[in-house]
Amino acid sequence: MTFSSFTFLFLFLPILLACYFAVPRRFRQARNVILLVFSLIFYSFGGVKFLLLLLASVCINYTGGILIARERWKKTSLVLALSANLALLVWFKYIGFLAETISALGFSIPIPSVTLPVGISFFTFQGMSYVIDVYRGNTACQRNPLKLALYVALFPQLVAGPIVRYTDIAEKIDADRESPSDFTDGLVRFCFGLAKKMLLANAFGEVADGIFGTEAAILSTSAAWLGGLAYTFQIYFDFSAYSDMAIGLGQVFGFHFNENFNYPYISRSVTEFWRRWHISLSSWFRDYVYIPLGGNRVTTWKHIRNILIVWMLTGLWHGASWNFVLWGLWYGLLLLGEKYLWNRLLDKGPAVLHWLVTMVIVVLGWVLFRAETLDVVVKMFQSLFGFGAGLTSGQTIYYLLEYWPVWICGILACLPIKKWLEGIFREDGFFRVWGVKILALALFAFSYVQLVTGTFNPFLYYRF
Amino acid sequence: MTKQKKIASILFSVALIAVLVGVLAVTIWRPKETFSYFENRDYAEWPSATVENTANGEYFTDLETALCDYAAFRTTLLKVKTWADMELFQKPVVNDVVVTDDEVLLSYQEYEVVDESAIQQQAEEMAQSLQLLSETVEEYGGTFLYVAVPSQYAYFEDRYPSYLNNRAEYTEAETTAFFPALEKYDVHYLDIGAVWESEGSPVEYMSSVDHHYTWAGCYSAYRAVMAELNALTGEDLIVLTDDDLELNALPNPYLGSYARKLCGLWKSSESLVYATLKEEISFTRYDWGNDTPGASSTLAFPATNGEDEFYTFYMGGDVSETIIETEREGLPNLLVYGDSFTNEMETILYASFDKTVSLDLRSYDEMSLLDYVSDYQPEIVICIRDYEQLLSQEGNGAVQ
Repeated sequence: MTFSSFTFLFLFLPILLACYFAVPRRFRQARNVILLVFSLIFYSFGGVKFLLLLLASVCINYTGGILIARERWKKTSLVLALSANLALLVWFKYIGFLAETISALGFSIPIPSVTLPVGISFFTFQGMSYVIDVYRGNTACQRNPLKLALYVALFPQLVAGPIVRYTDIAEKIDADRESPSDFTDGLVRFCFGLAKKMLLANAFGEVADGIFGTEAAILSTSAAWLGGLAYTFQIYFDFSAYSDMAIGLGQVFGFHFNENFNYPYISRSVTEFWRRWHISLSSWFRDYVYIPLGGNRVTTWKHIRNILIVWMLTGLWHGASWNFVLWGLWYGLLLLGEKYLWNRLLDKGPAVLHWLVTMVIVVLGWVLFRAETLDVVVKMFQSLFGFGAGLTSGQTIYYLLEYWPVWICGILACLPIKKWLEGIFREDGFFRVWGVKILALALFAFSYVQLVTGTFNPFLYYRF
Repeated sequence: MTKQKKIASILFSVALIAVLVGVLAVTIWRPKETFSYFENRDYAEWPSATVENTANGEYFTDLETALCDYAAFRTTLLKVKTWADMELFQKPVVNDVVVTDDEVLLSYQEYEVVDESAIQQQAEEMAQSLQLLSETVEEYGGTFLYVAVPSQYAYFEDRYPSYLNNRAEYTEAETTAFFPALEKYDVHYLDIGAVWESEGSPVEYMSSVDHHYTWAGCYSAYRAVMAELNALTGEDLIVLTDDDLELNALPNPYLGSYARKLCGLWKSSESLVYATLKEEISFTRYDWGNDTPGASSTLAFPATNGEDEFYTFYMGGDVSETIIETEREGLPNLLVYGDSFTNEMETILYASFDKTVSLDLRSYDEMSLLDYVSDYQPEIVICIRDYEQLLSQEGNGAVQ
């Protein structure tokens, strides 16, 4: 189930709100159980059989936490828990890719067909962060399996993040956490996220699909860049919309998740971009892979190794395919370049030039990310660099004219307009008290129109 | 929290939750239509839960599709969105219909690569297939005529904005490959595109709101077909002229396939024109392979003057097998097959024959066309296809 589905909006959510808030707040554990049950129902909409996998993940991490907390066999318990987590991830996400790669090397082995369960990368990483944090002594182990299950399965962040650390919400699980202002603010945030998804991400997705699906013989340079830009917008609005909705829903139930995006497309360097993009994943790799490898407090060669390992894993996390590995390494090399080669240049020249160069790099990176086969990579890059079917084509004009409102809104929505407006309008003024809420309702209405009249409603990060 | 902020928060939360609950209530309790009129499609069926489809998640996917179809106010919102796309945002293409022209609605065509060698090969294969049919007909002394009618996008290709694909390149490659291939394999054919071009390509020959020809275009094609048949057979088949026909226009608004996609919001003055014989020829009509006599007319008149009318007015739409018997044994028998372009012509074509059989191979599946022709052995066999389908071996392109 996705947040932008009729089933979620008009069946699941109202019933959950009614059941949850019908229970007096003093019955904290009853509210938690309701939230857990609904989270499991939410997950089972992707296929009841995958619920067993989620519960297996909970069991692994619960047992792992208990064993690690006993101090005896502490390290072994950690290794076992991490191995079990990774085994699940490898089997369900990477086994086909591994088998294909081995076959391609000339070793004939059967290629298993395994369905990828939704959200496995997210809840596996959450589970691993929990056992590592228990091992490090950053948090006490959770002895109530239902509470740990609530952390892992909590539906707002279950299938597409943000990757929430146990340490961030541990105290909230038992706390008297809900408040009227959080409830309203959470719903407002949810409405904005829903609109981002339904009105912007889906429209940009139609453009990107149209252009990436165009045959090389008629793909012009301008169309290729437009397609790359459309996908750049699509993936941002798609994923950040999901994060907005997740954060908003969390807030409704009194949980405060960390921000996952911070206007990444205003970045002036690749380093800055990755500080603003998918923050929960970057910080996960920083804390649980990069720093344990030694971070930057090692020799230059080891630092280069660390960066490349982290970015190859980041690429692989996004998908079991070589284009994701290449995409990860592309960023690894660029970050190394910024660190060791052209770092001094970053302080010189106009800021707009830095932004432009960064955006070109980001767009090229997303083209690599979006291309499903090597043929598509070659086709897109040929056209992007002027070796396609001419410089411009009718297709470019069509996609600009057909989607002009979306292009304008998309560009505006990438800018920190909210922050500017907050600086202009007083907190107790009409705009911030009434205007935002009226706008949220209007956006919800527009999203509903799009939901029931449109047919194009994919969620990109749903598959990771 | 200030008092005003508190009021705003409560009102917002109540309003949103009321919407969530209200939409669900209306969706569940409103009268259930099962057909989407403007989209011309059936709504999704409510899924039944089984162990298998619940385990793999298919049930929930199907449930979502059904809920969206039956969602509260969906038809109204479809109209609102179409209106906004047309009038507010001035999109060049709305619901797959090109709306940039003030007078004509056109179909949106995907950008495509025209592979001339593939087209050449398809043309050869199609022509060979038609040769087989033509030889079968000629073996028992009959005559086969293949009729190619321009599609609306081909007839109005100069009406497309320059940045959209009008398929001109494809049409050119297709016709220059296919017609010589038909000649090469001795298949008699008639290109209505060339006929209309010789008449100055009148704009009134093609509908402005639908992908079919108008009555004027159909009548022009009819005359050309009958003239060609007389030339091929050396017979003197009855050819209806203006003097034999009475033309009428339906008072109903004509909602062609494109105007329908625009939810009827694009206004057109075009009417459905039809011809009736001044001297009636009585006939018995059988449809859908049924031996029981069916409609007594070749036209499906609407119940009221107010309701929208469609191209299905002619012959009542696409029927797998229609038989019209006029009991005039001195006249030859006809088999006409093809896509919906046949329907309009059939409303007068039967006047020249004793028995007229119309087949639509998209839905007729009792036997192959070749077997049907061998069994029935009509003196005349006509295939009518539009430019979009000339090379397609699917549906009415399947001879064997």
